[in-house]
Amino acid sequence: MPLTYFVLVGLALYGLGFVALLLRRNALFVVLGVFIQMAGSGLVFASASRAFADIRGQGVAFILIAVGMTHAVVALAAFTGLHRQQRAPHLDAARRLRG
Amino acid sequence: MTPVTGVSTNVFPVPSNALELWVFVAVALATLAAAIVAITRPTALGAAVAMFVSAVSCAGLFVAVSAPFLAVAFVLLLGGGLLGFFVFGVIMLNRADTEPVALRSLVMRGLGLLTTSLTLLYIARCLPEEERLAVETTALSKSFGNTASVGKALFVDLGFATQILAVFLLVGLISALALSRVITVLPGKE
Repeated sequence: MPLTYFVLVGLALYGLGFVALLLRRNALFVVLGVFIQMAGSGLVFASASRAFADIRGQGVAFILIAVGMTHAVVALAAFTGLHRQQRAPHLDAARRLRG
Repeated sequence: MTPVTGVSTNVFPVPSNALELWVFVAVALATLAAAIVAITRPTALGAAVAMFVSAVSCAGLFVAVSAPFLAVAFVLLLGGGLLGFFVFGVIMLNRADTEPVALRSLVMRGLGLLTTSLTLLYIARCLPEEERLAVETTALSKSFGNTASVGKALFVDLGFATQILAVFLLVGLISALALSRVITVLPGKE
């Protein structure tokens, strides 16, 4: 199985996540888009790690997943503030993130 | 590539025949379809379920590239993240969006989409030749992809990056606490 196939799936996932990031109004879906981008990037790193027989690629993918999860935690905390302000986490209406 | 003497080349078999190719195509399509459903659903509940399906399918792809530890970590971490998403989305605001797509700054958003598409296309054009880089041609050691080898990579080869990650996690924890706290203003202290 060529590496190309895995990289193409990873790129497609990254692109889908980016579309959600750009087009959705609801902040929850923006976080979901970042999750999808993270999955695509991790897949590319893991498949390259397999192709080059270098385990560091999987280490980088793990770091990537951990950073993505941290981002999700901070984003969900920020959404509670947004929810208190406007009852719906719409990014268009968000002006301040003070708790 | 000539297999290295003394190491197994078939620890986690990578699809190489027609049946396994179809399995790969099915899993990849399931991942992409679930991701599309996740980003187009109007409610957070449906999106969270679709995202979990996409994550499990993606974990299957991780297993196919000899990364079982990463697959398990991915499902567990994303499952935890989605649980928070689920609780927040369902309990607090599981309402269908009346206007799900942001219509402001369409020119800038379109420009961003265009440049990203061009970048991804450029990367796709630079992909390696099939006969030169295939995931099943490289000889692997028996421990490739298990917990010990990933741990060694993280704490020896990528030690500095792991320390930066630890600082990042600490900053994230403090930020989450600061952002989610409720400021109570006492009477006469405004």
